[in-house]
Amino acid sequence: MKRNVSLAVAAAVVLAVGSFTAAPAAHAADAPRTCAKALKKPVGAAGKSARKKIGLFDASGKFLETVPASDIDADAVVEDCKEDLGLVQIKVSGKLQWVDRLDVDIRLPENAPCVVESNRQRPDHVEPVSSGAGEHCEPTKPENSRGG
Amino acid sequence: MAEAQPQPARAHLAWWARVIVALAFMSLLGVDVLKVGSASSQRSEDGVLRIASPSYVASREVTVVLIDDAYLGKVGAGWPLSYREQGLLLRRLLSYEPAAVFVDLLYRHRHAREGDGDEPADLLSPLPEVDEGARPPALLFAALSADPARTASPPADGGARSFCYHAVPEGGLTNDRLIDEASIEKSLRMPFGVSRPGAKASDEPVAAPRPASAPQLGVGLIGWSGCGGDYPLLLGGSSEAATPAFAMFRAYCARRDSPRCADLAADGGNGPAAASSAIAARFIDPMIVRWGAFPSSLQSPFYAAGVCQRATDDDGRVAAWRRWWRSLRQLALGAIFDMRLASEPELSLPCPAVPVIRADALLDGDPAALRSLLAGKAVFLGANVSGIPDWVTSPVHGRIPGVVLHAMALDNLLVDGRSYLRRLPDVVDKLIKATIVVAIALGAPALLTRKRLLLPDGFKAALGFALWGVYALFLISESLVASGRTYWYEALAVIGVAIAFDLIKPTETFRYALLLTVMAAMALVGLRFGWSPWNWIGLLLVMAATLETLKSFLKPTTPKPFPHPASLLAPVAARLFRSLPLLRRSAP
Repeated sequence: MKRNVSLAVAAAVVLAVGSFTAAPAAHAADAPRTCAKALKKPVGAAGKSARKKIGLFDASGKFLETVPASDIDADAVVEDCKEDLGLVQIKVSGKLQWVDRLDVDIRLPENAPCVVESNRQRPDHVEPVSSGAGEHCEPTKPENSRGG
Repeated sequence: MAEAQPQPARAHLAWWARVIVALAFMSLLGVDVLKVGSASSQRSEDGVLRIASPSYVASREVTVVLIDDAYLGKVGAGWPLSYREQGLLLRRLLSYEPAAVFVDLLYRHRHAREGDGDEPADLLSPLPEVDEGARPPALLFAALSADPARTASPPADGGARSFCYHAVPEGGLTNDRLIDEASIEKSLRMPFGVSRPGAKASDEPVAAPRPASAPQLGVGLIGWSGCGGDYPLLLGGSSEAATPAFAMFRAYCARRDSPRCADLAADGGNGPAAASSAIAARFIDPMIVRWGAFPSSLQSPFYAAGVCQRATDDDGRVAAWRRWWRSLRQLALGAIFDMRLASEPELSLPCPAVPVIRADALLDGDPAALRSLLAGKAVFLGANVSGIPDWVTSPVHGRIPGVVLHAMALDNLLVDGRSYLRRLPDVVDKLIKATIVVAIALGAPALLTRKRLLLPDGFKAALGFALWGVYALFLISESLVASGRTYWYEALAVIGVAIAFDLIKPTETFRYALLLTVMAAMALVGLRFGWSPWNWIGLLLVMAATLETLKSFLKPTTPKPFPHPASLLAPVAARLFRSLPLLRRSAP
């Protein structure tokens, strides 16, 4: 009996430790791949050169206008970023604006693609082609069907 | 009975009779009985293009940027990409200052309903402008071609126009634009410079007014028929209906200085319209696209090891011996199976000669590597997304995304200019074939009866046997070093064939190997001069059939001994067969 209790305690301890150590890993997997690394990063000098122009976007990625890169605030850092669009939010002329990460030269080399499979198929490859069914698509019922 | 007597009349079969026999077999090839003619023609062409692929040296001026499933998954985007996402992508691409970009995506239908926020204008509004004094890049989009039979002005002979011409049509080239206007979303037609179908270019505004520093927009026509597997550069006999490769060639040459761009220069005189027509006439013939076997080293930073076959050196060159070795392997192993099915990249050659990078590289890739791939280059942006069919079959790589075909066609133009590979005129092609076949018919007596004309039979038999032996050894050595497929059964089969031929027709192997080598070599040499690979496999079949038929007329018809007296294995075989009652009579 005593032995069973100690086994149960040990198992509980193992489970608890496991869940504690697994939690940060799971969180890391869900976290944006690049934002965490880009946040609070100062915008480099390359992004502020006098000749260069940068594009301003809204949060949905709609292009607004082009402004000189010299309008970026001297102490500008990345305040926020949009992973899917590759936009970062920085201060431009004192206002928070969304700009393209490439315009301000914020690259994350670890995020660069490394192709592991070539884009070719064997000549005998067969691939089903489908345009997909729309959400309002109702299959035709057989003529003799009484329906349900 | 005079059954074993040689008949003098047969031995001197008239030359014209021999020619008739040869031409009869060639006619069978021409009539294409059971599709033997077309099948052997396709096989001949594919074989030559594949064997010659290692000798193709790419221009290093063309790059493909691909949107694929991995890219969509990584950025969490759906398909099609919204106009905003595409606008951002184009903005990023243009920030590397390419000379010209072709977008191989069709904008036929709106992605969303009007008022949903994602407007077609969002595609073009983020495009960057160049600094004052600099030449803006060309940005060309795909548009479907209109059927020239319905939309183009009819030719002088009153017939209907077709997509493909091998020479300037009667009445000369037209300047019909041949664009299917409906293939472009209506709000994008004006920015793209698309006019109504059938209208002459000079009648319509080319594009809505845009700043001089903005990318210059235009279209390249996709979609054609009747060209076989060839790539047309101009459609419907029109100097204005350029397909993507030729539209990009013009756009690139207007911005960069390349030796082959001289082929777009006018020879002088007769006004701009005549000059434009004369230039277009140089490119009216569809192209047989040549494919390379060595991918560019410039793309290596974006690929994991072992995905592609060995790339070029850093300077774009490849040692001559390496090219020869790759050709030899393609020839030797390609003779027994389709190398594109191999799992080993060195055999299947999965990567094309133009660099292909994934679209997300633009944002996070090494800037220096990206500049070397994109700055001042001709760039093709295309997609390879599951369920959206845009594949072409290459004789070298297998099935590849369609955008790579456009890129390779442009690369061919930048490498060979107006001397790109094209089909020989039909008359010339037939004349060459007829000349070869007639020559064989005339030389048949010497080939068949004067056996010691060049080499003694024993020597020929030994050479033939050695050829098979070397081939078997090659297959065995490949099996020993290969990580994927092995060739033990094939090697065993080759040994079996070597033994059988040595016992029955020991000198034939050498004779046909010689013919095969001469035919293949002629096709390869022709390639060097821009002549299309002719049907050398079909010709070989015609020659074999002709020689075998003429043999019965030119040679005595005495029964053949078994094993053949010239056989290397005869002494061993004779001893062996003596112990087998059924074959004893045949032994010498």
